[in-house]
Amino acid sequence: MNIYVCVKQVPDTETKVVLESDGKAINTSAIKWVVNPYDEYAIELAMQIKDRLQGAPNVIVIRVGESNPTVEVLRTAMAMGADEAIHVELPKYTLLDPTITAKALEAAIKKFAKPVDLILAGKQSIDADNSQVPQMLAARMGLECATAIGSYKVVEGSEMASGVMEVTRDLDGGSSEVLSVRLPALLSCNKGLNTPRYPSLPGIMKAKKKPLTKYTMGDLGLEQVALDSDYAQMSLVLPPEKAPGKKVVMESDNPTQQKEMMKQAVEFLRSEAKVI
Amino acid sequence: MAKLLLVAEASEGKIKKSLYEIMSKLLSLQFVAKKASFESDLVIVGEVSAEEMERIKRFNLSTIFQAKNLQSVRPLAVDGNYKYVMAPVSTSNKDFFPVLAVSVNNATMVSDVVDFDGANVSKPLFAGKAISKIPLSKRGTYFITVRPNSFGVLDVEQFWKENGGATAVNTKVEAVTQVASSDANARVQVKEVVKAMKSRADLSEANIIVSGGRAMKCKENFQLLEELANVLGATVGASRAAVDAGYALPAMQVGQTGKTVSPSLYVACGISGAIQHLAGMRTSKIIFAINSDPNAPIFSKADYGIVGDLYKVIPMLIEELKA
Ligand SMILES: Cc1cc2nc3c(=O)[nH]c(=O)nc-3n(C[C@H](O)[C@H](O)[C@H](O)COP(=O)(O)OP(=O)(O)OC[C@H]3O[C@@H](n4cnc5c(N)ncnc54)[C@H](O)[C@@H]3O)c2cc1C
Repeated sequence: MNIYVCVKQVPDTETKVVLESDGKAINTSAIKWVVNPYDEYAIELAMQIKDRLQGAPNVIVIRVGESNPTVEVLRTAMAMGADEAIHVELPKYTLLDPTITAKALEAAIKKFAKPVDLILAGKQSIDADNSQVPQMLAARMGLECATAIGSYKVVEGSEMASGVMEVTRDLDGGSSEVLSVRLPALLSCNKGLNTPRYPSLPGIMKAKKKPLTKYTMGDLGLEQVALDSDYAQMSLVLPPEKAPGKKVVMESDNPTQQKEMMKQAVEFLRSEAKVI
Repeated sequence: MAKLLLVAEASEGKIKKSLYEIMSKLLSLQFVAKKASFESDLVIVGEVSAEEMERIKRFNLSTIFQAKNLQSVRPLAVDGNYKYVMAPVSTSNKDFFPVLAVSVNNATMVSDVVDFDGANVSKPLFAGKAISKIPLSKRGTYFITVRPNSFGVLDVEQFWKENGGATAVNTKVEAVTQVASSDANARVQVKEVVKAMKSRADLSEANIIVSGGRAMKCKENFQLLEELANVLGATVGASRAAVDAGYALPAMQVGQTGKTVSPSLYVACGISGAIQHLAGMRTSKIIFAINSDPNAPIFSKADYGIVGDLYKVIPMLIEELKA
């Protein structure tokens, strides 16, 4: 059984965004790179399946992304227990057109030529928040697809070729649905699915020797397509800074002040902001 | 002329406010800005009341299609020669639109758009810390999902008064006849739907949100926020700390790993304003914060802040709002 896990390297959320002078990209010199948080749930799910099947499934992590300044995420995933890695290299950190990312993943998986039983991914990446790639990859490869799964039921016999997995996902308005997904399939993972493990020290040592296959966009015939995309023409601006608002302190033992404060607050909402 | 298709899911005889927002935007692009030369069609998935249909027709649509379910929109969206296919962000569109985009040659999809000017779309990146502008310059189809509360809803009668009188709008209404004969994509089976105990307005569509954080201390105290929400006509949200502690349901979480919301008014109660929380609500029009710590980071983003104990402030606020 082969389990592919799609991972992305993204700027940590605490990162301060600074633009390059041409306004086409962000300055990456001071960025701390992390594994996209939703992808960690996908890696963990793969590891749990692998643990249950006494290590039998071959877990392949696959990433489309820049090779500079670091490719840590693939080693991190292998330190968590993945067996091998595929890296589709981009020259620099790029907010790629999701259609092209999906094409690149499909092309790389086909070139790698190990048959797909299961593909796992995070539900979205936290830099662009598109939530397109998993759905597109599944549709391109003709796989059944369940998105943003928040729970996974362990069912005897489901974790094998043509097995049927049972997963749950949230719908709008607080309802949820239980889905039966027949392999080969793609699952995209949401928060709450599991608690991702930390890489162990022996894991980190072993990861250094695990195989990592590299492709370029050119190898996959996608170099020109990526350059032609409208996404390659995007320009960035920083949102306008908000002027500091009003801040009032409630005096704990002054009922007159308190009452007056509430009046002013409601007056602000009604007449000034006009939101109620 | 370029054609645009707007996909509207109906529920209880109505379509969502976010659809009126998009129709308003399209109408003003067509008439006021005179920027965009396209004609708009609408496909309604499900049933709307006769009254709602009349209201929809005032938005100058060429054809209104009626479809039984989302899947039967597929042939229309794929083969209908549309330049733009649009819908508000929703759980179902998040799945449906990328699959449509794969079915059309040279399609591009942009999700969670906050502006559209006929030639470009804008979308937030890095949790709202930057905004990107993407040109729509290709010959293929664009699939676009729009963040609710990005555009205002026009008073359409007033609009027609100001723009050459109430044009006799000549909208055709047709049923979608082509049925998705065989679905090209493998479909998963829905085994069971677990209905929410209490159905509430979806957070991402809400116009006013009252959110509680760790300071709520327990599930029962959220009742106080429910009361405030009732007087404001709001939906209740929560921070991750409140969700993780079990005070609030996961579906109520606002933030980077929860819902992204953009209401007219966001009331943050006992929420510190961590960057991951701000990521989900920073585009709210007005942020109103109640926090006992004068140095809480939320105050730097708030339009109005009250420094005080929320258990004291909220009951007084409710009283004042009712007065
Ligand atoms: C990868 C990642 C993703 C995350 N995603 C999210 C997310 O989606 N959403 C989210 O919210 N968080 C998220 N977080 C967590 C976030 O970093 C914060 O920990 C969280 O938002 C804190 O919630 P809080 O403001 O309720 O709690 P706290 O930070 O503990 O703040 C509680 C506040 O209540 C105030 N307070 C206490 N008592 C009172 C009182 N009686 N009256 C008034 N005020 C009072 C305090 O002054 C304090 O400011 C994420 C973190 C990570 C690392």
